[in-house]
Amino acid sequence: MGKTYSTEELVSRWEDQRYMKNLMGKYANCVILNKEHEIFDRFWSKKEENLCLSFNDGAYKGAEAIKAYYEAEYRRNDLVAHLLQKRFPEKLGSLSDEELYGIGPFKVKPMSCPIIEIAEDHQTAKGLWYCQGAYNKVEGCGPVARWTWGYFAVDFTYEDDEWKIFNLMYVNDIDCICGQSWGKEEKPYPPLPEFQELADFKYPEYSVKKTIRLLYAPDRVLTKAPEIPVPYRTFAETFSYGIC
Amino acid sequence: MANSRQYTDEELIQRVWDVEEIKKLIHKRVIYIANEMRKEELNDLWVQDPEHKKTASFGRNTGYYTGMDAIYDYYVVHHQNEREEQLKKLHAANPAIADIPQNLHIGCLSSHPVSTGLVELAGDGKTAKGLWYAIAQETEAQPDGTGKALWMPEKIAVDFVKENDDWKIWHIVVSTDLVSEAGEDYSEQEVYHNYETNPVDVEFGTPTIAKLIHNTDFNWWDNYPPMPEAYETFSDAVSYGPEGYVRPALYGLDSKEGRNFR
Repeated sequence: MGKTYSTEELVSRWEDQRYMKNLMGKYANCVILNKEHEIFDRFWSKKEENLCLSFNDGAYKGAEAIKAYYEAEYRRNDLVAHLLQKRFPEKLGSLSDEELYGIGPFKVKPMSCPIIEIAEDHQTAKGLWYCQGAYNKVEGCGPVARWTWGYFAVDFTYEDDEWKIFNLMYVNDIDCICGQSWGKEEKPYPPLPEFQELADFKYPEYSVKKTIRLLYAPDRVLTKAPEIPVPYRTFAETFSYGIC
Repeated sequence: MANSRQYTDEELIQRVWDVEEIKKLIHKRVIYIANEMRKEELNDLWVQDPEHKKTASFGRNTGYYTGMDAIYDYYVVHHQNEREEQLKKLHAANPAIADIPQNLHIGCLSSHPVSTGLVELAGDGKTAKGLWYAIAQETEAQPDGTGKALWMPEKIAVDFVKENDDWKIWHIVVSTDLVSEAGEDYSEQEVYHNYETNPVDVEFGTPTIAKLIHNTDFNWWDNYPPMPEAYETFSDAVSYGPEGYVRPALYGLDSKEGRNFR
């Protein structure tokens, strides 16, 4: 640690870390509960202008683009539930839209290994987590379970006495069908006509379409994790998890 | 609190902060491993005090390397040599993969993320002990163009010591419970552990102190490395170094059950 803090400051900074760990825990729970459409309002900054949400193959920049992505997740969840209702009318046919929503996807993103650094000026913070996740989605081939191993890298800003996200990078090394080896060619499941609409489903176009991280492949060169946060004074003096 | 000391508020928050810093240190190690930064790990995260460097140790199932020089030879030099050999084989099989330094570690992926952290800070605040579990995996490119992906669930036990206000790794034991290829049924592997072919044992080589300290034939529950308990000050008796090893009460066939017992 660069700066020496008083006991009171240490207590406060410990609570700040706890807040950010809880925030990401809540984020992961919203994903599990298929409540992606609540994520922006609950966890993202309302004051920062240059917000960024990035994945392996691109980034959404700005509040509108990020909201549009989460809303697309909501629409997709809704579509999955309705397709399952059609496929299993005897079990699901009588459910209302409200009762039906959430059936199908099970996206688990448990976060571990937090490394959090709070700026000396207390205006921002940075966190890096490892995520041994899985998602059990319904795709064009029907239900499929996949392992997803990667990182959450987050920049936080302190506004109105709360920590909020202003850059979030979620990138994976592994995204493979459970039970198969990520070192070998994937054996995909055949498409099912009743789920064809999902194969055609499109997320919004990225604001920045570029490869941010390649998935593991036997010919991938060493690909380092998102940078480890280090102690810093102000955000201007450290790196950003945002994508240009 | 298990120890009987009374702490001031300042001491208590310092202890809370120390535990946070220790967790952060071991989390950084996870990233260093993923980044193939073994040399940097030893420089940044391990002990630097000459006396501590002499007594540092790195244990795995088949023994301990002791002293930072021996640890460096195993953990950095030997690993680098292995990876250079691997790249030569990949290049021989596929000349499109050039045998150049930039391609070292091509097709390799090492993930040892820890969870279930259990940290005990000594009553005197000078050392600490921690135990974690990792559902780890290591993947290496093969000359046939595939990657060999191995699950490696393991316990990671660490002694930490404070040097100039920074916590450092002093002794570590990584006890691997299982090595199993991804996509295969791990209940169908050989009944008895094969030390000649097991990739973890082969990679570990012949350590400074060669002895079986974690027997996965029958002793997944051999309690080595043991859970840290509250303690006042560091001593050999509580060390995760070789001096602290105690032969488990239930050992080998005497335990009458274990892996593949049917």
